[in-house]
Amino acid sequence: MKEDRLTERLKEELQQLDEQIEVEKPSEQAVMMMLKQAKEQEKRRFKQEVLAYVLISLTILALFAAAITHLPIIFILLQIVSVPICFVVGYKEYQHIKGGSSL
Amino acid sequence: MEQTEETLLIQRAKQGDDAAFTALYRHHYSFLYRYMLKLTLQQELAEEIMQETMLKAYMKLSSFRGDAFFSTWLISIASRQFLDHQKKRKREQMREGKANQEAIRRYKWDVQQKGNTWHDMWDALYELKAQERAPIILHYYYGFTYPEIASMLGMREGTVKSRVHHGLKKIRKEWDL
Repeated sequence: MKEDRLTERLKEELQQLDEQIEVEKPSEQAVMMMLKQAKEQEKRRFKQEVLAYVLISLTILALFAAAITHLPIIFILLQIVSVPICFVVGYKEYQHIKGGSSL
Repeated sequence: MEQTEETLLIQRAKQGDDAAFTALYRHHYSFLYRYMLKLTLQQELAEEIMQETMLKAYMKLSSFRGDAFFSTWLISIASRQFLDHQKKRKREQMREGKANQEAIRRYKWDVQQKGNTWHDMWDALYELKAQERAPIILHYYYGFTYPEIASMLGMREGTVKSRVHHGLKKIRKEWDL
């Protein structure tokens, strides 16, 4: 009974707040502009990330090539370090792609 | 907007039609803004999170499978954006606390200036922690079930129930029930 009264009052009060809130919708142009900016920002971010991946990959390849031909022990050490790093980077990227809700 | 019209707009937006996404966003804007203001209790923050929500929804639109309503999906993104925002601000809690007080005072002044009544519910919501406010509003006002809220906010059902329980306790105290 007491619970019902609380629920009812909560609903009513929240409804009153909704009625009181004044909303100013953004114009179509403003929304389109924000979307355009977001797209450009995402493109820039993607380019930067690709560049970083290419550079890191080339560095690793160069290191591995040098290590396997000259010092095999360093090659093994590099594998021990790089495999966990690959997992961490991959997992973080997966989280980033997954992002918010996918209801 | 009818459901079929909305589904068509979603399909067009998924294919890269920005005008379709804009129409969708503008259609849900009022509903989402009202929810955000009740949640944040700050006009500036509500607007900031609305913008972040729009961008996130735009970027992640391909992951919208249509299992839930589009409005539910938007609410879910907005709630998570807000809770993330609160987590990031945790370190600045003292300063943030004062800023929140100032923001709600300013909003109160704004409401009264326009000749409207200041409802006690605003104060009751202010007494709640951000993580209690979201499930209470979603459950008691929008009618979402506990499992739905848990999925929307990315937390366990038990956590949702416990936050609602603690929040209600505070509201009861505030209202002398």
